[in-house]
Amino acid sequence: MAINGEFYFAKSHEWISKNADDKFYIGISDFAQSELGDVVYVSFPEVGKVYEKGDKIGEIESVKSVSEIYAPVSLKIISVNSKLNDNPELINRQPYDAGFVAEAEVSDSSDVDGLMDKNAYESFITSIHE
Amino acid sequence: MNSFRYFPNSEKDIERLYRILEIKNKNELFGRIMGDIPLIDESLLETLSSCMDEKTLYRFFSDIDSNLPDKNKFSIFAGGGIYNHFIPSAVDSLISRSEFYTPYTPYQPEVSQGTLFALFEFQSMIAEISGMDVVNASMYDGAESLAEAVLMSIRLCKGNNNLILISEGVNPRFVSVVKTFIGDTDIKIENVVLDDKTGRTNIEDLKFKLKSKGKNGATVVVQQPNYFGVIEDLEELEPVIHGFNPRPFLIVSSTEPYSFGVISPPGFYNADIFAGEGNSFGNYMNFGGPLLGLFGAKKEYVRQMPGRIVGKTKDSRNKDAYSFILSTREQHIRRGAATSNICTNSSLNAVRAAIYLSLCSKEGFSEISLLNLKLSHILKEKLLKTKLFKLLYSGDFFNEFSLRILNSSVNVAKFIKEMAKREILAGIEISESDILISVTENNSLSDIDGYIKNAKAVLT
Repeated sequence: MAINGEFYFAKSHEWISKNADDKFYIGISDFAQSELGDVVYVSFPEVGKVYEKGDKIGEIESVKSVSEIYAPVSLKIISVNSKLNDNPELINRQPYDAGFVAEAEVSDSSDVDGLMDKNAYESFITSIHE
Repeated sequence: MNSFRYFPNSEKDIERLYRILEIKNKNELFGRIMGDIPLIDESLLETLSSCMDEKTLYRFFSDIDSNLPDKNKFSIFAGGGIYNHFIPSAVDSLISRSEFYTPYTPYQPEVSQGTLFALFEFQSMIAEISGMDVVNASMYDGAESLAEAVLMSIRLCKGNNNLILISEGVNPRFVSVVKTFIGDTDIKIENVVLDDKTGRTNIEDLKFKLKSKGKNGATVVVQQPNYFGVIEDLEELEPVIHGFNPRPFLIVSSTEPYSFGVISPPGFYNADIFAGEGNSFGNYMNFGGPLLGLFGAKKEYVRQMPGRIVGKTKDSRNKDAYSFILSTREQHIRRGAATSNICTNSSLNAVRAAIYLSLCSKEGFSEISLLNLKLSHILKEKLLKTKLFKLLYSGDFFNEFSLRILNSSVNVAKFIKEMAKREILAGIEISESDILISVTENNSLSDIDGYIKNAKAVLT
């Protein structure tokens, strides 16, 4: 697969990107995966459930820690990337593509515009590293 | 138990030793030291049978002189959660090694392969006995295990479950620990009554209460065998419980997992979590504690389990190595979101259990289990024959059963007190007229006859 749309980022390091069906993929950033280290297990959000922005929607377990995944905007989960069950390392290898976490519907797409774009996110990472 | 016969010397070895010592036989050998051991006279040696089990041997020597310490002066028929099982001396001897006995948190894989290996073996043995997929390196005691099991079932339902249905057959002390654990939450506990006749969990009451949960999840807790000694019919209960939607969790507790040597274990009946007391395996009664919490679950729930889990892997030289695994559940890594507050285990007690169980062997475990069942049924039959008691419940039991004292002028407290004067711990009071009696392999047939004789004297 290939995710071609624009990526928008939350301060909690999740990304969201619109796809051809007007739905959105969500995942975690390359920076987040490199901080976590080798991912060994993903606990998914519930399909069909509506989450508010900032709600805990799942967990990513790496060899050294477990981190929460938060909803970058208010959304409803349509499906989850079940390939991660057998291949959780896809999050490390292709965080912006095959390593996405779930597909969701977003009722108010202006929420997405309020997030950081790629450049803003990169300078955000630089700022938190200083 | 004849799996392990011990042959210290072959006939040839013995002949050679005699030749070197310039003696002809055993009597000549022991005859020379008789003067140093006055309490053994030579004729006693002649009556020694060619082989004895450890317990018989111990009794043989303690019967020679009444001043010798006798572990079993009191016959113990009180159980109710902690049972008087026999412990071979080898357990004390092996566990007294300083590597097991004195280290503090011996968990770093670099320096603690021995302890981790022993705990891994413990987990494997308990997994086999309980029939569960995954077993942890132990909890503090059975009551804490059960409380943690309840919390785990709540986590697994992701906020959709706050109803815990606990059978009245669960040890009341366990239930009070569960209540302490959930005291500050909105989790609700409801009792499921027992069937008046059989003493098993009442299935109609359980169905009725499960219906009330509606679209929410629920957790059902039963004990096997239950507090009154009765064996629950899990074959009937399990499909009823798991038939509801969303599927409720089944937690099976136990205070006497020795029963799983003769009855099918919780894993066989598709239990989701097993939370029991393991003190019966090689641990003394310790005046009620420390004890040994057992905890097992289905594999798919492993990430919500409390406690430490030892795993087996390969080291840099491709040799077997042991290490704690799935530590990301635990507090030192996960902080506030950890699955449990427990950051340790009952290592010493768990290793004792592992040593004990390996000394038993698989066949021995079943044989001792069966012996418990036989002896308890002998005592029950003999007590009923006196016409001084009647059976409280008709359900099958393992090594513990409940009786009603028919003589209404003697209440249970008085009966226990009078029996104690006669060096018999007769049982545990359930109510003014009902008593819980347990029998283990530590109770001989003469102990059982002693119980009958003294019970008759107290009650008539």
